[in-house]
Amino acid sequence: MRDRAGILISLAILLALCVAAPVVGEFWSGVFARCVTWMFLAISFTLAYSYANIPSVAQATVFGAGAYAAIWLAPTLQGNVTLMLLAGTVAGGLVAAVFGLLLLRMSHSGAAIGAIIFAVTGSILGNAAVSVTGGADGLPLPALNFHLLGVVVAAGPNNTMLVLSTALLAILLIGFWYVSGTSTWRIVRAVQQNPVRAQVLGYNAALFRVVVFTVAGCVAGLGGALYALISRHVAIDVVSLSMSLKSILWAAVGGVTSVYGGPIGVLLVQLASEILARWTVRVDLIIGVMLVLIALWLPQGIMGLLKRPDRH
Amino acid sequence: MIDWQTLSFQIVNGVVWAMFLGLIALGLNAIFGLLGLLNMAHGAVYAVGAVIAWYTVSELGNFWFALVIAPLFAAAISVPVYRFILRPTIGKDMMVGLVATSGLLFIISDLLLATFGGSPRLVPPPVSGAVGIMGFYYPTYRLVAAAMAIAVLATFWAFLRLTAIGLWIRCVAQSPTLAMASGVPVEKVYLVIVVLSAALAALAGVLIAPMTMVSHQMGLAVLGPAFIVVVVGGLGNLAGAVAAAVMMGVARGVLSVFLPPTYAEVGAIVMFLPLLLLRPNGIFGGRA
Repeated sequence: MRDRAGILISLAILLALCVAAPVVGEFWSGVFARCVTWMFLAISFTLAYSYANIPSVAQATVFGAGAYAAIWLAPTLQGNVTLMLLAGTVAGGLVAAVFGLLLLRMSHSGAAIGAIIFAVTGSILGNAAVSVTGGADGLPLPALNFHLLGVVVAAGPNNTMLVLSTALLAILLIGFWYVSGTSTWRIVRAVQQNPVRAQVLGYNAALFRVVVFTVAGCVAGLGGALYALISRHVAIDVVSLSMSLKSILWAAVGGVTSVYGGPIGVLLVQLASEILARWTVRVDLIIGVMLVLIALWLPQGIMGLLKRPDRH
Repeated sequence: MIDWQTLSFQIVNGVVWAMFLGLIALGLNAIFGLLGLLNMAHGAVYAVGAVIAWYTVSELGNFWFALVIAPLFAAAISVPVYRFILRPTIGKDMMVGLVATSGLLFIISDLLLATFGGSPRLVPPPVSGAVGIMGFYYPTYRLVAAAMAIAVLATFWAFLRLTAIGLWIRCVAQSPTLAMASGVPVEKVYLVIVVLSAALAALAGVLIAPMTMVSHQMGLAVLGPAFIVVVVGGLGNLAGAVAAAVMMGVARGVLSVFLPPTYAEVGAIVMFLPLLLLRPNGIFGGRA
């Protein structure tokens, strides 16, 4: 079943960001733009967890692969934003496909910890290979003339990049909304709910899970490439375990059972962090308390409030 | 050409580190095996232990008091944490527990940052000197601390095997429903495990404090390796986790003879991936 309320809420949020950005000023436009890239990451986790049935605690590693691919290839691609985004998407998809093939063979809990191994290994290796990743200092986006479909665009935390990333996310969400009403998606749901039963019914459960996980990786990779363009800089902390944990938290706050929860979760947590940071340095403490309260009183996240039984 | 002296030193060092990793993984494993929770805050409790060790040395001038203060403090705090945060998440989706314990991780880390500050600090070893082993000198404190860790692990094993609560814990690990039907106070068992896990993590933090830089974030670094040994040892299998910790420690030690330390760390971690693929339930499988 297509979740009409979910898609409408998500699109309304994205529209509100684009409308508000010119009013609230450059700083907040940049915050909104980064938030949108993280929405890709949160959605990616939801797809991996709720639809591929793989509790991937390494989605930030996939996101980082997309970000680094965009930065590494920017000079070769001569600032062609379309190709840079494509490179990030493909890089994310490839990394996710490899992770997925390995994690699929593990038990559910084993896969969660297997993903932690990937995240930790990626982070340690990234920190060690300073010449390639820039380590903790990171790599800057090369100074190039960036262009999208023949039009010159200014990379950075600005309104143009906000509109671009928002448009891409809107297309992605509308695409998901359309696919979620197809018979293919019903098979994905059947595999997610009971892989053994789906296998007995003649569906290749493993293949469906790997494909969905790879698509989740493509989403994270695309978000990573956008992040590189918006931040004009990528450091190794984007692939850290704590970044992956953040993606889980965003997804959980919005509602991990719905793809449309990710944007809500990112906006709530990140805007709360930005606003709180003006009043107190104890932002992490407040976010921690918020997470505990959500786990206890809103375990299905914000989207859980809208959910009716047997929607899918 | 292999430098056998360096290799021997690194193997001994790896085994010593493994004892502490085993101590940390023990609690993580017990909480996962019994409560089904991936406790992301476990590393933060370990950091609390190390910070208490630093304060004890600074304020009281005696490191050994920390061995009592830190586990007691962690145990006392873990009671309300279990009652109000962990207990309501038991039996729910894995993600609920993950979010709750991640929240705890944020809270504890930020409280540590607020009290201890962001700069890493050193805790002087309470036992100075070095012991000659196989042609090299090894710091005495590390051997003493490893011996204490082994004693704690052995005591925990005896506690599981020889006491009524230990029997209850093993029953609940196998089947909470059957245990409850047989009259085992499952709630009490859960509480005991949470308290013991917190105390063990804090104790590990105290013992490690004189061997590393104490910082409010040191728990995150140990979380990855601890989770790995838990899975490789077999989820819920306590002895397996300790054995996997030894394997990882020795592998890291041996690899560090041939590779830079960072790559040795990665190699020791990656080494376990094929094992996880071949034996998804861990090399020792099953539960305690």
